[in-house]
Amino acid sequence: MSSLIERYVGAAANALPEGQRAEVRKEIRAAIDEMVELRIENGEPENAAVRAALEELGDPRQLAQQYRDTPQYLIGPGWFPLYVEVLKRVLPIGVAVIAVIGMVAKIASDDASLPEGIATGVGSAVEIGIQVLLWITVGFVIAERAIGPHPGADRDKAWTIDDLPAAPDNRQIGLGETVGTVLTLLVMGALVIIQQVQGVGFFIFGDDAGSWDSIPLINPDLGTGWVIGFGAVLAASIFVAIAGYLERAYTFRLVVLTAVENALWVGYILALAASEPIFNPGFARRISDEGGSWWAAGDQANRIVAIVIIAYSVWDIWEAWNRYRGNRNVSDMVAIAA
Amino acid sequence: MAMDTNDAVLTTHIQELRRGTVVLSVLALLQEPGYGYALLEALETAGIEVDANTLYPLLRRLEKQGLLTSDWDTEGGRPRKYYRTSDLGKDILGTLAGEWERLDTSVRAILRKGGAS
Repeated sequence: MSSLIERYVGAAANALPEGQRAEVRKEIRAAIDEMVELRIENGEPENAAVRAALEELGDPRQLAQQYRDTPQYLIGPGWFPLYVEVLKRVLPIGVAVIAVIGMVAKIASDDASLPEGIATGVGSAVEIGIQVLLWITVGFVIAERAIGPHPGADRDKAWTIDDLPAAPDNRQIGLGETVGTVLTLLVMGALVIIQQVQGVGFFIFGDDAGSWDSIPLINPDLGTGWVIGFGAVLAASIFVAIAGYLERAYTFRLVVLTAVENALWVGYILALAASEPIFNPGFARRISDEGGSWWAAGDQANRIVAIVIIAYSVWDIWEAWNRYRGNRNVSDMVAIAA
Repeated sequence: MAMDTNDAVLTTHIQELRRGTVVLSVLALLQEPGYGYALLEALETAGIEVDANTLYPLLRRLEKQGLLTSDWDTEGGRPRKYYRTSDLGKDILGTLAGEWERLDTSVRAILRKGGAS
């Protein structure tokens, strides 16, 4: 019958972090013992007393949680809104970029059909999406434990009226959105520029001899002018992202800025696509046995990139316009109400 | 369905109302040292309802906060844990008891007024 107690105490201890187990085990064990003892003194047979005592204590995992010293959540309510905001910004863009790269690479290397390419693109996007989700989550979990439950809050100081944001905080463009966009742009830019300047590729291949080499995905023979141009357009994008944060909401000005930014990207990509292969012919040759087929020549791949960029730009401007209109409707309503 | 929801709401509020009274009673009763289950029975006799699976973790939390001290009594085979209200616990008990009196007066006054209107 005491094995029942062992099982109960074990189940409770297992629901806790290892460091707290021994102590809580001892506590619960003592509690059960005295409950059983008292019931036996009152004339219950031992078996019945043990059962009754354990049932009185209830679910061992729930009991264990009452003894727990550490928080049981990964990301607390103080950090959660920022976490969701960053995810919302970073995940879709990252997943979309990877999906397109995966699709183009599959079609180019294996002469696969479009559906096959799409399937591969979606596959790699899911894979990378899970990675992105994981690492952002890990970052927030660490931040919560390192900085404390409330980002930016000074824990030694009580909140005063001076801590209130200047205007009612009805900003449409939050910090998370801005940080997410700028981070994505910086990482994207760093990958491309490091590759062009250092000649390091981020796709690594092993050969039969067991040696490894990295091959740039983007054409490494692009002139310095193209790289500088890329950096300039990227800087413009970062500028627009920060301007959006300062504007607080989508204004007509911001919609125009967004349109200009997208026009810059489209102009840059169209000019590049018309004069140079965007992807590295060596990369296509490396992943394909057929000498890189059409991709090595680059025309088709350039066309796909141009179409994707144009589609994205149209969507981005449309989105900015819609958010501007939605935002204006709200302020109209507020004006009418006031 | 609506009944269930109301019952759940009622249960939550009753628990909220009772929560602090358990701490107050425990600190008062443990001025005489005692072990967990005896305390549970003393509370029940006094009309304070509390479950064993709430009381035992609560005793340990109060001990960690320094309001209770404990001794393991190893006589008679199985170790038993005796708790006793610490000096800090007695100070806090005094303050809490004063607060309880004040609340009792206030709530009574409010309930009288509420009944009159």
